Amino acid sequence: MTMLVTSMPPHWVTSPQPLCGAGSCQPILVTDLLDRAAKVSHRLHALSTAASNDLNNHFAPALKLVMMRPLSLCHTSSLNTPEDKEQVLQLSQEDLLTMVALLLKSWGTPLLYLVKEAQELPHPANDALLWKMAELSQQTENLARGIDKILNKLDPTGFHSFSNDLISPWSGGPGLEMGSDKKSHLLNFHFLLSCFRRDSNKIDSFVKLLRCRATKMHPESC
Amino acid sequence: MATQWIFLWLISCIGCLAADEVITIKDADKLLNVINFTTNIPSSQKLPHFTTCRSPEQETFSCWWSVGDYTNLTGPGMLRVFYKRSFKNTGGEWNECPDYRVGTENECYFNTTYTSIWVPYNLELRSENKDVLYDERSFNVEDIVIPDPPVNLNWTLLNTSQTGLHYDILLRWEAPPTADVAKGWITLIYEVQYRAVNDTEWKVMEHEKETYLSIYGLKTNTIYEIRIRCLQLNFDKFSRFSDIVYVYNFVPVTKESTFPVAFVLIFIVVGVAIVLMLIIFTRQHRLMMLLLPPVPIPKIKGIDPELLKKGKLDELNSILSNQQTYKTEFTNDDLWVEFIELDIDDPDEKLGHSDTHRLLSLEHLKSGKSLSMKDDDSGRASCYEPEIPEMDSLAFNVNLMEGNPEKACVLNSEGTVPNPDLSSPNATQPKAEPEKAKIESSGSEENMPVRPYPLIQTQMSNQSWANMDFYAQVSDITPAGGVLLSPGQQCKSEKTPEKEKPDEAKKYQFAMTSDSAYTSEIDAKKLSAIPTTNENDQNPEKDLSSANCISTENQSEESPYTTNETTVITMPPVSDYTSVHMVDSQHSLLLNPTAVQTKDMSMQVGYLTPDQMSSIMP
Repeated sequence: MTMLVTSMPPHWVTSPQPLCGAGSCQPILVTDLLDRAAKVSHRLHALSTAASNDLNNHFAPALKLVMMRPLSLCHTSSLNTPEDKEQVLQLSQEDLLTMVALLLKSWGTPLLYLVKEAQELPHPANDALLWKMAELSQQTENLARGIDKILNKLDPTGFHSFSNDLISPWSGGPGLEMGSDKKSHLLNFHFLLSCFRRDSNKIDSFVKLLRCRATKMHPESC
Repeated sequence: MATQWIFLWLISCIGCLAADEVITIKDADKLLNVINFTTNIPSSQKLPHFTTCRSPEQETFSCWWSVGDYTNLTGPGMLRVFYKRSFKNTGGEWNECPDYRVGTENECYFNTTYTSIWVPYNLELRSENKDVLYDERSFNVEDIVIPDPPVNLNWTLLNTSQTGLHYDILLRWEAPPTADVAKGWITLIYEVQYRAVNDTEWKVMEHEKETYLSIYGLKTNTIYEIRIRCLQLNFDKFSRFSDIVYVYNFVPVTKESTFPVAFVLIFIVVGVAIVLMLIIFTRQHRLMMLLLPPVPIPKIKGIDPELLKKGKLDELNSILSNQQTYKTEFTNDDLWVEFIELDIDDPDEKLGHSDTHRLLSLEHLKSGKSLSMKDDDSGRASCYEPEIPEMDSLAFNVNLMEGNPEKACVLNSEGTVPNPDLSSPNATQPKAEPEKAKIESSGSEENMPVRPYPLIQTQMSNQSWANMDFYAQVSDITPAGGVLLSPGQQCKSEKTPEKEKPDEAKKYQFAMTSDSAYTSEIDAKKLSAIPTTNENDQNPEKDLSSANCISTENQSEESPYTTNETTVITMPPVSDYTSVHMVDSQHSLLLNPTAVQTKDMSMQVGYLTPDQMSSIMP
């Protein structure tokens, strides 16, 4: 007797039921999530700008010249992120989100270092810097989780997921601890903060672009 | 010398910095270059330098420079700009400016191809032969974004205030066309400023994310100018100001509206004045009473201000002594004594007698209960006479008539106290007897609450109630229960039917009150309530009776006055008020004389002290 191959799929392979009860909760729209992400990224950028200003205002103008380390030395410069508007617009939604996620994850450790450094920073405004760094660290994590969620929504299959190798490693922290003096601490701090400020601007621009793209039906929000 | 110091300082800087790994060779090279030309060139002259680098929309940018004092370097090609972009950790290469804008002077323009965001740029201003570096700049393009000003300012009137003095507008504008706000590439915020044309300071509104704003509270008939500028969010470089838009709202001030208002007001005022004048001068008393009611001047009841003016102290004293408030010969400590007040109501109230009726029935039931009458200044009628005849007993039988609750003592329908078997020293009312019989009979009946009352009412109104003494002293009590009053009344009752010519109303009122020495509250009300209707009737009577009786009263008052003084010790004072012992079957109050008499001779008549009260009360 031929085996009756049941071509009927087992009952559990049907479309997944939503975890919420029938109609009792609404799925959050991607646009709303992007809205929230834009708010967080905006805050990241605002905070980092404020912290940079705090830092710079107390430095003598002459030192500012030598402190202008080229930001190409930032550890995230190795990431292949777009550099102008056309490139950004050519990227798909998921790709952009992936890049944002990569950037955010790359800054996890350095931000913790910044928080630690701010505690003992030889700078008159180190209290203000400390809470700003703490906030930056927290919000970066927050945004990273949010971007992951959005990615999951847009790309459930995980086609665009990236491996953790792509995350830029950061090695600047521990090495400088040994035998470094006040000035190097300050300069390092300043440099890292400038790098983060630039990246936060990048993240913010990407997310805002994504948001405007997602709300095509409501162009007035952009 | 100065340059040497700078040199030394820079060397030291390099030295200290070179100890760290922070400074790279390139940086040191830069510094040395700077040192080179500072030592070679005198520092007083201004070098060619970059003035500004600006990107209007984060897609292109330009840099401008100036030649400084080196005017020989003007002209194309004399100064060259080199730039370098540092990509991805690679050093990048130096290139010359892709576009020296020929139209504008000293500008280097980078179009979208050559513009990279988030990438560090290095620009250098060098001499023609690249040997001399005059100036350099490093920046990221996103940091040099200075947007274009907003465009297409327009405004619409929202509303005008009711007074026509203020109005609100809605201001709209558009983002600069170069900035790609639609895709979210840049986010701009706007700052609106406005002022009246002749003001010096601009009013700055809060930063707006939207492209519209409502401005409230602008003044009409004033020209306002408004300007807007924008800036990139989270950055601090504002754009230039937009073109100024002028706002003007012309609201004609209608002068005609003010005219009729003032006119009407004046007209009204004049009209009212005329009416008042007419009234005052034509002496329409009625109208005057309506429009200008007389201000009640303070008066003591029973005292004629005329008396005061005349200065007849004797009469005054007698009157005042009647009032029991100025008994200086007695101790005046017992002025304020509490009394249980009998229910005394307005004669106008029809319910009054029924209350009394109830009271009487109650009294009948509670025979043991004694009441005493409370004296209050409302001038309730009591039977008091200024004359103090020989009195054995202070008790007097008070026949409370039904329907006549305000009279504590027995009064006939004419308002006088009936003394049927009275052998009074003064020939009293001859008419009293039949009325008294009538009253007595009516008093004995409980079921006639209404009849005697209106009878009394009418009779009182046109009769001598006004002329009677409301307070008369009881001189004796008849065995039948009647009360003998001392003589002052008789003259009143005799004079009732006569009439006299009318006189001024107010005078009559005052005179009337004065000769009776007391006026009840009801009577006072009556006087004021019906001044016009019964004036002509009452006034002559009052006048005559008062005129006639004043003499007798005076005589009688003078003597009792003196006797009061002299006989205070010998004779027990006749009290106006005594405690009511019980109510007998005939609804008459039996007073309790002995207690009062024995208790306190010097008691001020009309008042009981609380001690006396307690002694009186069972």
